[in-house]
Amino acid sequence: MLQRRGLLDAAHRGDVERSADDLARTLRAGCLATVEPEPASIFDHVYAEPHPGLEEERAAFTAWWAGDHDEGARA
Amino acid sequence: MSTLTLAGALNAGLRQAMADDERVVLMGEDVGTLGGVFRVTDGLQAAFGAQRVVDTPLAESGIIGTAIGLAMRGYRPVCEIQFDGFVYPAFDQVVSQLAKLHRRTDGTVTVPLTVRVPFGGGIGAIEHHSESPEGYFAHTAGLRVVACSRPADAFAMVRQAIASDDPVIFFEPKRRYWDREDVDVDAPAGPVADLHRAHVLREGEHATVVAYGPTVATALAAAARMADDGVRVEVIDLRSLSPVDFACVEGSVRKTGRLVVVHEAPTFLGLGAEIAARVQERCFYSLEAPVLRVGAPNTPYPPSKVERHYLPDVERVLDALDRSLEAA
Repeated sequence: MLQRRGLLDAAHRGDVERSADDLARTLRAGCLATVEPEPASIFDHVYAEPHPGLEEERAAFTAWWAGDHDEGARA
Repeated sequence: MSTLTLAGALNAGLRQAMADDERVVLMGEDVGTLGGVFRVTDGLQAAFGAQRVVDTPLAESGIIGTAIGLAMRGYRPVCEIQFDGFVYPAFDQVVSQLAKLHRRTDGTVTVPLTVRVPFGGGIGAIEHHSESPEGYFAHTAGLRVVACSRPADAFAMVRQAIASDDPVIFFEPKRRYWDREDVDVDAPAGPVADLHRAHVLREGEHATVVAYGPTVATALAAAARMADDGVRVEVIDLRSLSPVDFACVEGSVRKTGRLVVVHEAPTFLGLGAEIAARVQERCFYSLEAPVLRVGAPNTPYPPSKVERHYLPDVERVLDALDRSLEAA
């Protein structure tokens, strides 16, 4: 449609493709550069006010994480 | 016998159901031309036409609402919800309409509609793409809720779900879509009632592990590890979440005296809570240890970089088994 109306020529199309490729590169680099959060961050920002159930689960998880467990045993 | 992935077995099951019954129609986002984002409906539009494999707008409420109307007029629709987290816009149609129409019409109307939902995490996806919402639906009377775990079983289960005169919410573990298994593609579907039977996948006498969907493979791996230490763990694939095959679970617990329930969903008010309650009610004097649950904490599904800490893994199942075996 854009081509029929004369709004998209080869030069403009090339600009759009280059711009899209740049954005994709930036996005990929950003994803690859993300820092792994602390495991217990799973429990962050679930509620604005204290929640006993959540805190109990956080404590259990933290104790588990601090203990002797084999992170490689997955399926 | 053919070696198929779980996605391929579901595809074969859908193809067979469509060939067997012209009332079966598929609907969903990208199920037609694309063949589904996980390719579960790959090639079906080419085989059966765009009138029977319908690409819908991105509107889950509309997909289910339209399918309910089709089902009331004699079709047997199969709707695909593209990802678990997208089922919520359809929640009102499922819970307030689909689940209640048979009752509302004094049993004169049946709604044989299957809602396929890829569910669970472990694929490195973003928000809304890794959830386990099965508990909401299992808590709703009028719906049948199942979860497949293996290719050969899924091939039969999807055909049984489509043959059911009740609505079936059919959960598919997306991180197992690429698991392979030999499938007898000439096998008949079997009776619809078989859809709701739990399967004992590994026999044992020291402890029972109940799992469904994506955690069945986890449970089997844990049982294999326990066997190295001479502990024989019985593994049950629950398959049906509503109704639950309590006879199978109770029979196993009366033999082993110990039960661990594993699912990806949060343990708080999850399927494991119901199973634990029933087992302590009915098998109290057979239990040698408290029923334990292994599942997710009651938090939103986390970013993919830490999802491995959220999901139950073999190590956590082994830890629960150790605690169960050490008790009493």
